Amino acid sequence: MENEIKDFFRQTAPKPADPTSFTLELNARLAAVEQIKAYHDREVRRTRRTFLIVFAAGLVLGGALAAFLILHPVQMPDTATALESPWFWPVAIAGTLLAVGCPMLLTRRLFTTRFRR
Amino acid sequence: MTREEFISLATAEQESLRRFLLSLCGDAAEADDIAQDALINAYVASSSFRGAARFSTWLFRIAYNCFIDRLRSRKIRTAPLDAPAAQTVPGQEAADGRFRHEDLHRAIGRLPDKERAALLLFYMEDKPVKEVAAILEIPAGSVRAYLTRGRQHVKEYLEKWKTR
Repeated sequence: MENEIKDFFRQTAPKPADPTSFTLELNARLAAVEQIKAYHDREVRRTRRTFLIVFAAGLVLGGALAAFLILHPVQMPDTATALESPWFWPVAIAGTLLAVGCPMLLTRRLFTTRFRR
Repeated sequence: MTREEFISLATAEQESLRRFLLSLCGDAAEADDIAQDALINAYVASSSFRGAARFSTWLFRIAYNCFIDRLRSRKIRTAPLDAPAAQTVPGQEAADGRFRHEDLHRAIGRLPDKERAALLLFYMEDKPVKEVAAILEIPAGSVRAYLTRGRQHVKEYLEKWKTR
């Protein structure tokens, strides 16, 4: 009976359609996947490089600032006096914008992704 | 695994995979769509294929999971008898073959998905129990139980068919 069932299944197995069109479609899809994979790999490499650059720049600038402060100790202005200054907020906002904008400009659309043909 | 290596491995399994999916869901277009999805998923994950299992086992497992996902998301009708592609049967006695094919699919179409898949893999694709268990991600004992139950169903239909 076991062999009979096996034979019956084999005899009545459905036959898939012509494999040519299937293979062609598969090849086209695989090529598209390759393209997306390559793009993704490129993006990962660029993001990694960007983080390394920003990290190194932070390290160098931080080190330079620390060295400068150690070598040139000065009496820091009173915080309350600084807050009262009419230049405080414009300078603080401009400083923040520069700190955020410079790495973005340097690395070109760090936070955006666009498929380049 | 390079694209060429993948294509050569996939080409060897293509017909068997498409036949299995066609028997499982009964609609040729839907089966080919699932097969394409499975092959793309397999290609994307091919870097994680370490050769612990056979390539065909790994590919069939992905395909079966794709079928289950499709079943859950789109509620596809399984093994319909009116699908023209599902009725394509090779052989000289085409009409008789078609009749038997319909009978068989009527018999197994009522079975639960895993039971049907186990039957098709074991009898149609000639996979051993261990491999069927790996594909369906269930213990070998469960596969044997599914086969026993499924065999009983098929036997009943075969006997009915013989008495006609």
